[in-house]
Amino acid sequence: MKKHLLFLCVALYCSTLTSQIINKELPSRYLNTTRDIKIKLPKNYDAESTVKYPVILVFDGDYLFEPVSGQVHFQTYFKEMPESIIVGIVQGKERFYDGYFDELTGMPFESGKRFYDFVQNELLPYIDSKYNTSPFRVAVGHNTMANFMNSYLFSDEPIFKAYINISPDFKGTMANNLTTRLSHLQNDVFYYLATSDKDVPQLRDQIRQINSTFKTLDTQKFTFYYDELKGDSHYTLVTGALSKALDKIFEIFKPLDDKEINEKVIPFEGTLDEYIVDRYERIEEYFGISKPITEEEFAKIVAIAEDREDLESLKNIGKLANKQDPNSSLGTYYLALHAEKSGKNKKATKFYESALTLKETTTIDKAYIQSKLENLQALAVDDNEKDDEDEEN
Amino acid sequence: MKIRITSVIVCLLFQYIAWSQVIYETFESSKLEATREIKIQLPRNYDPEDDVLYPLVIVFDGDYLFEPVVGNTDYQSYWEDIPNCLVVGINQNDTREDDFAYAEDTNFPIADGANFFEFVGMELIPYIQDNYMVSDFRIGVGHDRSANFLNYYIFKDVPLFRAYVLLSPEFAPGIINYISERVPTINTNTFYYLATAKDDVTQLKTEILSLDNALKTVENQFFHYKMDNFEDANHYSLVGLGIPKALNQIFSFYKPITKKEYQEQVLVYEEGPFAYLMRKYEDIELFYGFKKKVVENDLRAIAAASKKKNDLESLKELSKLARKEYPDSMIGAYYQGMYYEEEGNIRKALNSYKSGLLLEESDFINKDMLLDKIYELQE
Repeated sequence: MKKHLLFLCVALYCSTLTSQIINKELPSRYLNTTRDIKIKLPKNYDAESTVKYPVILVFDGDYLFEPVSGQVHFQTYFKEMPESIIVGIVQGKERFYDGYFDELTGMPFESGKRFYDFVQNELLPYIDSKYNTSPFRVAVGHNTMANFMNSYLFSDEPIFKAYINISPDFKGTMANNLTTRLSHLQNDVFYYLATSDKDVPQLRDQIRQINSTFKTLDTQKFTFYYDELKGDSHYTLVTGALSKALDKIFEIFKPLDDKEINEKVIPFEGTLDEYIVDRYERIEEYFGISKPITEEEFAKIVAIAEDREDLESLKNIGKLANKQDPNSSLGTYYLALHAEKSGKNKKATKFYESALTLKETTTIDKAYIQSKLENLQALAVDDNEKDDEDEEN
Repeated sequence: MKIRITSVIVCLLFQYIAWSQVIYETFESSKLEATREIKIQLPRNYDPEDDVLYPLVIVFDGDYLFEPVVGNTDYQSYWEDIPNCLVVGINQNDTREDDFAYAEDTNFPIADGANFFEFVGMELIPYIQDNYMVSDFRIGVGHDRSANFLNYYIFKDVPLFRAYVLLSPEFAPGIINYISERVPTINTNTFYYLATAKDDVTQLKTEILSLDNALKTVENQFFHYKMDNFEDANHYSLVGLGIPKALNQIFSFYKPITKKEYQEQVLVYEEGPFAYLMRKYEDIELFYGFKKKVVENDLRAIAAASKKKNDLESLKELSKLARKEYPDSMIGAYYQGMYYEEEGNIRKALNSYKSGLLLEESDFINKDMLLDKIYELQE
């Protein structure tokens, strides 16, 4: 009985502990002292599981950690973002020294450089060794610390994938150097920038100017988001901007949206099956989640392929869908569509017929395929098509 | 063995309080004839022995709405833009449907909905009042259907809440007409915040905008109203934008003295800067029903204004107040020193500054500042 009680207590302790904030004093050789950090693990975090979680590192954790945790809780509740490990660095009176910078370049200098090394060589390795982390790391900073965290972008392989800059105070030539750097990225970078019409005027004007430069840099590698809030001060803008930032940064976790379609998918140079496969591979790599491509997303890229008259993509998407689920009629239907668009009606008919024998999907049901077939047969007066490419069979 | 277990539990409980962690409780409700999970977030540095009373925020749909509210109250009170708050979230995960039930003919709570209505007002809030240091200033926060439900409390003679935060409410039929009729007759200070967004559910948005049309023309000095229609947001993402706006609005009279206020009101106040400060804090107490501790920002503003206007009496009163409010901090010593210095009593000024050296530093005053003053006076 006593044992049971004790077990119950331990179990209770563990279960509540997971959703509570862990406060830790981390010793640092670079800082030559200990540093207080706050850690919040996902609900039901299990150290033994193979699930990996993104890490959100919050600078100025004294006051920014709680609003970040609150927003993350809200968004994960509605599955708008993956569950994440949140780490806050308490900076308090050290803030000035932590963010200390070179006047000319705006880069970390002296005590700032030591803090830079602490984060990169001590804190993040500690978190990675202790918890199941994925390579998707997000940095969150406000004001001076937002300037600071941009310095990580200048390494060959930046340690953060996403940067949430809330009313950053860019120092020295930081903004200019970033412009140069961001146009030569080897890795994906997600970049969020926010100010408000009632922000400190000097910061607001600088941020607006940076926005006008950065938005022209938006490439396959560099994903840029900007918000200008209304009526908020340098301080009151923070929580609203955070909610927008987290909503946007985790965009690739969500289904394809119009922004991505217009800016990334339509101008994509390869075939669209490559795009979607790559997207799902990144979701797996970043968030440790492997999921099949949804029919909805297949339908979206097929629509784009049709729009841009990209028959090659259409064919490949069909093959991809068949590979993912050979029993579904989806892939065969796309192959039929490809043949039809290529003017090979005989082959299209064959594909439609075989699609009829496969499993219906939510959008492609038998009646629909049947109607496609009938259409074709009505047109099948002209029968001198050549049937030379047979690789699909 | 039993003692050891108890001590483990006590230790754990103690840790929670020390870290100001979320407290999870299971509430036995006779109204609901069931247990209900609640979450409680105490303010930072909460001290049950102290006589400070905190505003109470009741968060409906606490399973998902509690955490973003807590994130925002913690953040804004850190900057002293709002007071520290005690936040309570009600878990409605499995019971939402029943909790928010209303009658099809009257559109008011019925059956389980009526029980839930009474549970909040007659069990939960009294329980919190008995066990925690909360004031009568209560804020209710709800989203979607829970935001509709919040409105029912406004129809009581003495409404349960002083502030209503309605994030994209899904109004029961006809409710918006009742609200429009009720609002002009409200006779206690009441805050009402409504949020919708461009990509909100169309049907909800239409109703919210039509209520907005009715409310924005109401002229009632006790009714404080604000509506936001966010551009780049939907039914869910508007939550993170609406909460900070609502809190800002509710505590708009609470904020520290701003630059604008300093120039347009403090400097021109006839009875002097100190009298302005007193009036401001009395207004806050009257309005919100709890006392606000004078913040350092405001002491600085009043000191600056007193010096600028050569109002020695005002500075004297201020230094007394600073000493009374912050006996263990350098703040008291600093302003006392400043008063004596302005008065021309260098010896007393020196003593005051020196007496501060061993006290606690504040956000604006540190040892170096006091030492500078001391060297300056000794020359």
